[in-house]
Amino acid sequence: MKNKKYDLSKRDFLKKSLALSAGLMCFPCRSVLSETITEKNGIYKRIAMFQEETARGIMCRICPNECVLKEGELSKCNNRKVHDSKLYTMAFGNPCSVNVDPVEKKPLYHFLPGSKAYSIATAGCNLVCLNCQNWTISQTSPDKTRNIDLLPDQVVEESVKNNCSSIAYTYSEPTTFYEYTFETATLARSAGVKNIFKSNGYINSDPLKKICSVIDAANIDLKAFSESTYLRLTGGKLQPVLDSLKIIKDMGVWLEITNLIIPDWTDNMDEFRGMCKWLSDNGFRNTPLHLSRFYPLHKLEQLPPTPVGILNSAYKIASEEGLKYVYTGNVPGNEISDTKCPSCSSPVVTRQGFRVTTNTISGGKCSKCGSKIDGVWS
Amino acid sequence: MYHVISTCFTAILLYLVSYFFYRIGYFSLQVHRKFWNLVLAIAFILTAVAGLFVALQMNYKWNIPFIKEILSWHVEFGVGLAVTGMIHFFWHLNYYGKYFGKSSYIPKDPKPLNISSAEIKTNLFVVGFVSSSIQFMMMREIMNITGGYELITGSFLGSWLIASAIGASLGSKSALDDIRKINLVFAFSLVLSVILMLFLTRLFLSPGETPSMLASIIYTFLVLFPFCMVSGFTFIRLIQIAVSENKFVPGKSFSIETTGGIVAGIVISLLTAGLIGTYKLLLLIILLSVTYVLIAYYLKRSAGSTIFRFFVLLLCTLIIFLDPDIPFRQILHPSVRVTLTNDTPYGNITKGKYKGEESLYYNQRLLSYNDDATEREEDVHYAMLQCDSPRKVILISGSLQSHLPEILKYPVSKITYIERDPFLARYETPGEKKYADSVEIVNQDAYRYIRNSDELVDAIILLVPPPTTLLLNRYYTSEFFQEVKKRLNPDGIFMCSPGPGDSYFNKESLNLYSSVYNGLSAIFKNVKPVVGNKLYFIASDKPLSLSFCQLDEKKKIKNVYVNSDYLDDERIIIKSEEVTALINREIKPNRSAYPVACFHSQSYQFSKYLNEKIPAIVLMFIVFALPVTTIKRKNLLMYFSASSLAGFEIIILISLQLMVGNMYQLTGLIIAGLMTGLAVGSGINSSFMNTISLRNKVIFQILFYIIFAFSYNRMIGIKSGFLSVAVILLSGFLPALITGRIFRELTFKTTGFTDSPSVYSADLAGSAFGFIFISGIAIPVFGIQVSIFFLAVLVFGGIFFGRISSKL
Repeated sequence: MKNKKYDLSKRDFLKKSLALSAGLMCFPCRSVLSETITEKNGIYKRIAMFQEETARGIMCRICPNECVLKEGELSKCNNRKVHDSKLYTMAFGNPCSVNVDPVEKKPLYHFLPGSKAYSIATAGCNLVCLNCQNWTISQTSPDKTRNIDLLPDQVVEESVKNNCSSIAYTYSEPTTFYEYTFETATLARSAGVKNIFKSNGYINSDPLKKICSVIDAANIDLKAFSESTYLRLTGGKLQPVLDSLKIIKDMGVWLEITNLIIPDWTDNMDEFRGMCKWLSDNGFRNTPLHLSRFYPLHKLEQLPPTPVGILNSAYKIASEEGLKYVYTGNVPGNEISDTKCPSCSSPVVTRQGFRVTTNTISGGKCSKCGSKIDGVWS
Repeated sequence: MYHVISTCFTAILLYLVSYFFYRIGYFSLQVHRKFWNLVLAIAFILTAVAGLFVALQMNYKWNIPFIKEILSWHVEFGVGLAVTGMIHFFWHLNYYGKYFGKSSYIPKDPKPLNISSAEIKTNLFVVGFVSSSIQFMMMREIMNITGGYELITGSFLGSWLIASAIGASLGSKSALDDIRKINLVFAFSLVLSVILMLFLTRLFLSPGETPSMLASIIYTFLVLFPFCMVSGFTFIRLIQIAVSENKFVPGKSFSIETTGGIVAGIVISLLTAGLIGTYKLLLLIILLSVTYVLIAYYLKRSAGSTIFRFFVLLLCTLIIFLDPDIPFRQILHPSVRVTLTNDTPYGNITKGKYKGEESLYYNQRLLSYNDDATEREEDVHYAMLQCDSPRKVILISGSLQSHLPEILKYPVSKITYIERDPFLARYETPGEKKYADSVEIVNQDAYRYIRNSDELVDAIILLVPPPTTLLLNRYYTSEFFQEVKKRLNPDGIFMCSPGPGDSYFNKESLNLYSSVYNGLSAIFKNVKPVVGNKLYFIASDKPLSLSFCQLDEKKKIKNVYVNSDYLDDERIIIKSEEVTALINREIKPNRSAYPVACFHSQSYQFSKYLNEKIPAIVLMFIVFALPVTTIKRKNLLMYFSASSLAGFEIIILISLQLMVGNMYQLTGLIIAGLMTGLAVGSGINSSFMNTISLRNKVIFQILFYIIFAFSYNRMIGIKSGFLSVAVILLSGFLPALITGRIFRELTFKTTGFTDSPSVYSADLAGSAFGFIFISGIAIPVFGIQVSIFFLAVLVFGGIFFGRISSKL
């Protein structure tokens, strides 16, 4: 007699096979999970700075995201994690990108022109820009990238070995590898190597003030001039970036600003004029502004590049609003990249691509009329 | 950011669709209510369970993994629950008011029409014709909008077939037999799908954004659902009417409907071969479909019929002479002003203007734009600087207008530009621009040209886009590289770019580049990666130099970007060595029959949307696998046979591309060929076929796939284009014939009509599974030949799990 209870029909077999397959499909998900929460290779390398215990968990006070994290949770920037009720940074001494770049590539035109910057980055970013050109490192975590073991003292050593005048914390977002930046910058300063902070400016005031005490120059991306565009394009807010610009300026760090003009997103010239007016009214007339051309990248692959005409119009508006040093970039063959004396308009630094062809500044002054040219020239 | 607007919109749209179908009698109020109770219950349970987890985590500090995602789902489902709850509340306000009154649903008993055999035949034919036409055209458009990946093709066909299966299932349970109403809804559902296709892009995408896999699946399903559901419903109701009014066996109706599909395949293939724009044709089909319904069922004895016909003729003339494609394309390209659009046999070319600068889109993807010195110089000089004295150069695809001046910086005597689509070069330059005498433009498939030409050249520069689809993958295979080498002089240079030159190469991009590199290094002695804005591979049998700045100065080439102003030889060499060290030699080289680069390229694209990976897999699983559990055991043979046929369709389409090249316009013909087999199998009552048992027919189908798999390599080696097409067309016929026959026998054997819809649903659901399984998993992972064996295994699965009992 057939025992009904243990009888498995082909149909039941098929159903159970499907259920099993569904279960198996969860395995990759499980493995991703395990990878994230398991301590491996000592990834909890440093206790994070600017953490605060709250009733809801540990709060990271580095950036305006102010993630409140519980045990094992990962911050929005992908490189801070709570372990044993303490917030740790996973990005310390493990950069995934190391290069020697001309300082003009950052871009910094008024800071040691013609010098080289030893450039480092770890994975992670506190924004999620749709047009990110470094998304393969910014939108992931240090435990998922191939890293190089390079502790702060080794970074300084390597920068000297490579004849670099400065170390640039760049590519992804140095705010998210704050501890690594801070310690390296402190050591570099004592070794006579300068520090460049290439950032989105999405950082809280206290950490910013602290880092400003050890950095020499900063280039901040001012990505748009409207809160709604900032939110849609980057997932962040505008006001903290504006506040950061003021703090950096007030702290005496050499500052240059980059504005990427994206068709249909940030190329509204009225909005752009508003931005320039704000800069002009808030003491940034002497701060170089780099207008950068957008290229289709990451999630915005179907947008055309910024028309050169738009860049030129923006250049004109910025000059009209009283900004003294305005440049256009990312347009080989059509760049406005020479530094002109604001008083006599004579070119004091001429550039060809990333190469400085002439530099007639002497003692920080125009060799023709003697006017001061803002910047760090030696 | 939570999806408040899209969730509200989807819930309201679903409610309106469900309400509409209840009102017109597609299903009863009870079904409508059950459906919404189910939606409400699911939303409630998921919100509550997710809420419970969040509460446990908050109160008791439980270490719950993915708590943020759970919180996010809690809110997302909460939004869904709120909207559904509101719908429920307003709905039941009326319900409670009438609680003790009479039921609001009074089943109507429409007066049946006297439909002649000719009329029902015409109706079935029209439904088949319109459904297939819309399938061909919407597939083309949705592929363009969502990126054209094979996985999306599978998702499109899956969504199409699943929605049709849902419609068929509803049709089997519905009492609606008002043929006028059925046809009218069918005609208007077309309009709704086209509107959804255009306007949902605005909801799902920001300007210039490429959709993620998850967004593409949801978008595709939402767009196709109304029309496909109605189409499945209409077909099943027509079968029933044909059975009851005209004594047609379901197989005959299936055969007539399929014949409509075959004719559509041929007609659409001819018309879209550059004769008429997609939206012009879509509008004409919609107009003619509505006209057919009105004339056949509403106005046939009316005096207004003639006036209406005249009005339709006028409208048709207007559509033909005006250019409706530009405003429609404008909706799809919100970030530029569309100035020109043209559908060629190979794809859509659209020209856009943004603040004075022009950009060219090919199949909705940005192809070229003004003032890009970086790209045009990198594309040409990294290869050309390697040549000592280049005389003959082949440029495959890319922009001729941009790249030609760069090539002409060298003392070349002949430049052969190969671009399959003759319209591209024409639209790129305004007016009839004459290129230098040294330029020869070849409008041919580059693979075939390289294979058949016997002229040796100094450099071949491949500028086709990265291998994101199987079609593009052909140009990055070992087989293609082998052909390229035969066309090169001993010191000749080949260069290609399989993807972007990211500042950091993630795992997915390294897998992609490794598969191409391993293919190249097996053919050429020296292969060097160069990281520019793209990642370039330069290959040659002679030693290569990456000191581009030095070479540039030595040869006195005046460049804007490829020179020492922007580049540093030392850094280029270091970066190249880094990439070479990262290349994984264990990765399979990309081959025609093992298109791994395409798979890795798609993985790379998906790595941009890591958070959506698991939801996309789960959604795919729900859409494709779960219908199996609802299929009756006796229909499993239909399910698996249809799966194998759908998979075979994908395989022969890919094979056609491998053998003949881009056969965009022949795709419809191939599908039509398969449908002919289906129509013959299901519609013709052959005494010979009747003598063979169903089991033996199925075994024959298994044997066919096995023999086909063994002879596959020989088949793709056929060089004659005509012979290739003939072999492909014929090879599709036999398995289609047997699958059609299975449909006929399974529906014929049943007593009465009731099982036909379930067989049809099994057929559709199986086809969907076959498409996604073969194109998305089997081919990339196991290669084409092994995938053909899988087809045999699938049919065997039908025998193993299904039931073959009675005989004809």
